[in-house]
Amino acid sequence: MPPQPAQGRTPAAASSTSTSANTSSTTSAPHNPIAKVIWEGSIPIQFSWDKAEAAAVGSSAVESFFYEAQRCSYLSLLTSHVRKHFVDMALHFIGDDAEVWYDYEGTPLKWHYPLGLLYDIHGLQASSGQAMNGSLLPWKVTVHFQNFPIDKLVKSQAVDSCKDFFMSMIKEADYLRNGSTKKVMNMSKSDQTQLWDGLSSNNYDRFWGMNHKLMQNDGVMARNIPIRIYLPESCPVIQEPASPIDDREQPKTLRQILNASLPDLFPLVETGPPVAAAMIHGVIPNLDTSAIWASQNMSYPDNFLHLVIIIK
Amino acid sequence: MTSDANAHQPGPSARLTYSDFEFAIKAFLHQTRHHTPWSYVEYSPRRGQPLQGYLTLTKLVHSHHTSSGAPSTTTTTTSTQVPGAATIDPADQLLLDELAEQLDDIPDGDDHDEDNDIVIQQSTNLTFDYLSVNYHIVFSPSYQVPVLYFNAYRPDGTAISLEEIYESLVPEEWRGAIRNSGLNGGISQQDHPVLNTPYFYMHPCETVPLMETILQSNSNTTTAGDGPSYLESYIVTWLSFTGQAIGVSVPTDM
Repeated sequence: MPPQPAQGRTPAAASSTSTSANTSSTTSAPHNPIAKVIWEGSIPIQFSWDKAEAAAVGSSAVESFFYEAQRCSYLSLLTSHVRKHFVDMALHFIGDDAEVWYDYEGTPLKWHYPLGLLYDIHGLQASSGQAMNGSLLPWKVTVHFQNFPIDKLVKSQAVDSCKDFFMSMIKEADYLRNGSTKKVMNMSKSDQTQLWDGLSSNNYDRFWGMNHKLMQNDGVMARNIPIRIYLPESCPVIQEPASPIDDREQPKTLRQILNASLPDLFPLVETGPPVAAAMIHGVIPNLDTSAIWASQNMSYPDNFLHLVIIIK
Repeated sequence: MTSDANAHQPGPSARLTYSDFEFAIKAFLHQTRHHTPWSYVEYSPRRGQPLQGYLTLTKLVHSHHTSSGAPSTTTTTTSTQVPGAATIDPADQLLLDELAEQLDDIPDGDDHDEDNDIVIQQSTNLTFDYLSVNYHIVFSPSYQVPVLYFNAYRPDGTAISLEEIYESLVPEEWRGAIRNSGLNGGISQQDHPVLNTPYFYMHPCETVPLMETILQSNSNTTTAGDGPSYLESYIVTWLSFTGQAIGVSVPTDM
């Protein structure tokens, strides 16, 4: 039986017993309104062709490409759509999708970070949370078809690299929860495929039908919660082992997890107005939320809680 | 840090805490000080945290890649200067010429005549085909083991691709095995956990089972109290199997 959230302090608990409609060859996804809402989260993006590149081929005033992008998706998965738009607009590009890259205000965007995380970092965190009012939307991203910055961005082989990286994260999450990657490595090829296919085709049932098993971990309490914490100003990402239970075997809250890594920003007892907030999927969860519950219900598809710290 | 993250494990374990790791790399630094110029790099993970460290080493390696000339159609057309990579000064060229005579060869199963490794270009330049390789030994808090990160640069400062890594650093007889290992091959690229720029690395998930096996067999053969402690020899042991695959090893008399 998975650990229950603390009474009365968390958003609606996810019920994990009823099943939704079954697609023929897919394990069904359990009913989980929180996970569904997160899955359906999206950001409108305005992709504009880099001005210098456009000018170099004599194209100016090329229309931007507006796209409603899933927060849980990746830039690599959008490239074919983005490319098609600009090619239709007279861009002559016959290279590989792998040469396409994106920046926001001059900062190259990591294609291996989920889109929602990129926006949380470059949009919301960078504005110290001000932009939560939607003032940065549609998010203005520049697309490049040349001069891939191999010193700043991992060189992509487009969708294949994205899938490899995604599966690496799934493996790492498994290792953190169980101390080995046996669970993931023992998944059949078709099960592994179901995970990636579900994500890349934006099919909630297909994805969660399989992900559910990883999340529930056969009812075994995780050794560590897969969590990554992003401070502003390109600080090294915090990835420290975070046990979901304390010395008395009680479930820890998000506050306790954050306090262990960032005691000054997240004191256990607040003595004044909070100096920092933790954001995920563009929202600021209540810090009294059970950490294991957050891990099971609010993680990104790669099974990690990517928490972005907003300094007030 | 949660208390369980830093508590010293009872008895030797293939998994390390960060302080085990720091002890182990400092011991390794001391052990190799006469052989290989590893350096200890300190950094602050964030305000209020004690400093942490990792090891780095730069080596010149023969490149078996035959041409550093025309770019292929899939690589970037712009040469990007990589921060930290040296631009070759004429004054340094003399030193490099001397070093070229002592370059480490990665055994590839062929019998290469040293002279044949000097590639004479179609153009007027005589270029030594070598790579400058940076190796970093960094702690992985998730896998709780060291991870070997590396990048390789051509003389003009441009970084090389994964294919060229396989051709130049991985011994020929290992290439198939490494490519096919794990979910995505034994070598991948990701952001260096401290520098946040792209680095190649050896996947760490096989490290724990391997080290556990070695630990088991060592405990069967050594007498307690003899020789260096487990942590003191951790890096030598770990590097001797991890590093071989990509051109860095421990001196044979260790």
